[in-house]
This record gives sequence, structure tokens and C-alpha cells, in this order.
Amino acid sequence: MKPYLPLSIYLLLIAVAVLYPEYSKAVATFAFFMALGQAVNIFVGLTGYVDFGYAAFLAMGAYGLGIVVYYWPQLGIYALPMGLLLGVLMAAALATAVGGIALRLRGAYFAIATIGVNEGLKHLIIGANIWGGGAGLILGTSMFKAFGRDTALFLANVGSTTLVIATGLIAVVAMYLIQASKAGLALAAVRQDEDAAKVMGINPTKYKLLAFITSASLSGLLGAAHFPLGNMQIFPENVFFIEYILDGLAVVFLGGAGTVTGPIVGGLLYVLVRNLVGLFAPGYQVLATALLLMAVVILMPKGIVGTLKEYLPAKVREWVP
Amino acid sequence: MDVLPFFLSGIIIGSIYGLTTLGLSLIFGVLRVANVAHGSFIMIGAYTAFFAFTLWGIVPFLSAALGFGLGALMGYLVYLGVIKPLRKMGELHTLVALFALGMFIAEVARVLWGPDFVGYRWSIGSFSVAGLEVDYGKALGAVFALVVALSIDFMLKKTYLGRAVRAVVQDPVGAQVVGVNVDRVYAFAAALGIAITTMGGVLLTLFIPVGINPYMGGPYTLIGFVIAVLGGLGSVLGAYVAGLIFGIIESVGFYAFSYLGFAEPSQMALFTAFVLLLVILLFKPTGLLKL
Repeated sequence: MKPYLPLSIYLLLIAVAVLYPEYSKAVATFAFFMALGQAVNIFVGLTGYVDFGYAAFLAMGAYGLGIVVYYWPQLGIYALPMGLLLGVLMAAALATAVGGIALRLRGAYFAIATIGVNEGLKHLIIGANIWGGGAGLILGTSMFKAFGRDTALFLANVGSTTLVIATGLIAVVAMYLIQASKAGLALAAVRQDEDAAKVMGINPTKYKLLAFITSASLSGLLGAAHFPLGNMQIFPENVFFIEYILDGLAVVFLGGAGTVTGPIVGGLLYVLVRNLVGLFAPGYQVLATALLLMAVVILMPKGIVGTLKEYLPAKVREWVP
Repeated sequence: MDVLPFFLSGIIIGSIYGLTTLGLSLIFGVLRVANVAHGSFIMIGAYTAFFAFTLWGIVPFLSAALGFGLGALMGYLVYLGVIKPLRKMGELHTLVALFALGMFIAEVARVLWGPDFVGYRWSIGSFSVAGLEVDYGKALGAVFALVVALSIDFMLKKTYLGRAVRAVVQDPVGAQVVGVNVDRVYAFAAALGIAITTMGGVLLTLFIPVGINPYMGGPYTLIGFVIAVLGGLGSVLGAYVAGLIFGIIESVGFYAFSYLGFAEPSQMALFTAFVLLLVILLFKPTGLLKL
């Protein structure tokens, strides 16, 4: 596989966001769903498992950056890297905890175990009133204090968008590295027949956990870039929003689970469909998304890129991973 | 404040939980499919009860039959439209499609009936036991759920159809060899399972006077799986008994969290449910009850 096509698309998007700051937010709407799909794909596409509590990783990333900026604005600009790091670590820690327990389980049991993760954590934050509880964290003042007014506004606009696109780019690299290594082969074996893979001496839990933590960390980064940095606020109802799971899965399955270019095509098409529905039938976006996801899964289970690849000659196929 | 009333009210709502989960467990047992759209079917049942009561004055016990029929129809369609075509694709696709279906149903409900909380109150008096005021409606609902659960169990154990279902659970290929129409059993299990779930949703409205909403299903999906796993996924009577246990845990948990001074004890009770699910799956994924 040659990852140059998806990589150059993300680099192009970064260039647009930096060179034309006035279009930065418009690019971000596309890029967010691409990056979300890209991150979800590392887990869903590589393992064939599905996590219904996935939005919690976005939330962990968002809270990581939010906590640092809100409680320690005196760190100045260092609050940004430290907050991002904390966000990624929190998402990774949650993935380790959930995955360590639940990835021992097979398919449906794993999915069941994850159903409560998102809502459970949201209820904990609201119920026990931690990190601002149900009222959330309003970060505008803290960000002005930490970064200075102009830098804060720049970060919220171009900085956030660049970071969102960069997340997609890192996800492509991560996917490439995993697939090019022994882990990729192990995951392919586990995906096809977990018992047979076990007999061949592969430890399925270890590789599933690897994909899970990678995917979660990237979602953490995405959550930090999108909510606290881009919107300057965190509300539990927003960051734990269950629709992000639906969005992520729709992008992945539209493009084709397990393909690297899939989330780019899926994300683009998905945002287009959503915006068109929003334009002509406002309020029906989620309904259309759910219907679209169902239709794609049932009628075109391999997605657009996955189906297209079957018709491409082998030489071209290599360039469209 | 005494803990005993919470214990009792836990048993009463637990009976309803048990009934709804029975449908979930049946579907998993026969079809090996985790119905992640569970909560949305409960929501449909709740709206059935609401409209039957407010529009035509039909009491919840009669609209339970309506909910059952509606659920059976939906279950059959879900089998034909989603589960059957995806059987060869494997688990991931079925789970994702059902998840999308659940959200689709909730969105359709919002478009049709609006996003607001609605409800009704069916008062036929109450009686007092051990310091707890129990509505006759709620108590009857609990007994009704028990009767339905026992009759489903009887049906599965004693009738020809029930034996065919259990044969398919044990070995689908073997069942086919001895002449069981496996496809029909699958369709039957999906229809019956979702019918029971919807009927449970109707009865649930006796307990949530203003809690009917298109998005009410989410927590019930979580609760449903906690109970199903507790009772052993696929075990029908186990699901009912686990429902009773969960009702008690939830109700007493609410008491404990408010006693400890948490701001939102009901939210904390749901968090406990989620932790419970992880703990059971970690230590005993086959369930705690052998029934």
C-alpha cells in the first residue's frame, strides 16, 4: 500500500487552512468528520469490532485540554501542549481500562460492554459534579489569560482547524505503520478467524488493544482540537454526544471499513449529504444519517472505496489504500 | 428514612425491567444478535400507551396488547430487512445497522411527536405496605409482567414451537436436519422478542408519569443489557429474575446516593449500572444466574 494519496489530501487541507484563514472554519467542518472517521477506522476497520461508547474518547481529550487551561491558565502558552498531552493520555487511559476489560470478550459481548461507557462517564461527571459538572467549562476567559487575546483567537480559528486536519494525517500514518508491521498481519488474522489466529500463537487481546488505544488517543486529540480549542467551551451534553458515534460509523462505512482513503471520501460525502439535508429539510439531519448508515451497511457493506477497489487493476489499487 | 420502601419499589419496577429484558435476551439467545436498538422499541411502546390513553382512554393493560402486536410487526420487519440480509456479513455489520435503526426510530418519533416530554397519569387508588404507598396500577403492572414472563417460559419449555426454538438455540444445523424450519424460528424469535420489549415499554409508562420522550430509550438500552448479562445472555427466566435484582439495586442505590449527599442520585445510579455491567462481564460473562 502507498499512503501518498491520503497524505497529500490532508497536507493540501492544512495549506488551505493556514493560507486562507477566512475559510478555516469551513475546512474544519469537513476535516472534523474525516479525522473522526479516520480514527474510528483504526479500531473498527482493523479489528471488526464496534465500540458504542466511542464519543467518550472525544470527551476525554476535550476535558484534558479544558482542565489544564481552566485550572492552570498561568502556564501561559505551555498550557496548550500540556493540555493536549493530558487529553491524549486520558483518552488512552480510558481505552486501556475499557479495552483491558472488554477486549477479552468477543464481538457482540464487547459491543455490549461499551454501551454504557459514554453515558456512564457523563452521568459520573454530572452526578458527582466534577470538572464543572453539568454546567460544563467555559474557557474563553482562561484562554485569553493563558495565551493572550490575539493568540487565543488565532488558535481557536486556524490552530484548531490545523490540529483537526493533523489528527487525520497522523491517523493515516498510524494506519500505514500498523498495516505494514507484524501487528497488521496479526489483526488481519484475528479479524478473519480469532480462534485460528490464537492457535497460530497470536495474542488477539494484545493486538486489539493496540488498535483500540491508538484509535482512542487520536480521538482524544481530535476532541481537544475541536471542543476546547475550537469552541472555547466544554459541555458534557456536547462532548459525550452519542451522535458522534453515529457520525464516525457513517463516515467509516460510507467510505469502506478498513480502507485508508475511505474516511476521506466518506467524510466529504457525509458532510455534503448532511448540509444538503440541513438546507432543504432542516432538523432531519440525524434521521437522514441513520437511514444512510443503515442503507450503506445493508446494500453496500464494503463502502464506496472498498467496492471501487474490487474493480481497479492491481497497479492502481496500491495507490488507493 | 427507611430502606425497606426502596427495596419494595425496586422489586415492583424490577418486574417490568425483567419483562422488557426478556425480549432482549430471547433475541440474543436464538439469533445471537445483540439488539442495540432495544431502547427505541421501549420508546415506541411508551408512546403507544400514551396515545392509547390520552386519545381513546384505553388503559395500559389493554394497550399492552396493542404494543405487543405493533412490536411483533416491527420485529418481523427488522428480521426481514436488517438481520436476515446481514447474517452472512457477520456481527459488525448487524450491530452497526441495528444501532443506526435505533437512532432512526428515535428520530422518526421526534419528527412525528415532537421532542418534548409527555406523559399521562392513570390513578386507580393505592394501598400502603411497609411504609410505601403503592399505586394499584403499578402493582398490577408488576403482576402482569410476572404472568407474561412465566407464560413465555412455559411456552418455550412445553409447546412444540417452544421446543423448536430451544432446538435452534442448541444447534441450528442439527435443528434443520430434524426438520425444524430454522428461518421461521428466527423470524418468530425476532418478532416475539421485540413484541415483548414494546409491551414492556407500555407497562413502563405506569412508572414514569412525565418521562415519555423520543430519546428516552438510551438509558433503557444500557439497563436492558446490564440485566440481560446479569441473568445470562440468552436465558429467558434468568432475564426476568435479574430484572428484579437490578430494580432493587437501582432503587436502593438511589437511596444510598441521596443518603451520601450526591447532587444527582439518579445519574449516579445509572453510573453504577454501567460499572456493574463491566464488572459482571469481566468476571462472569455467562451471567450470575443459572436458570
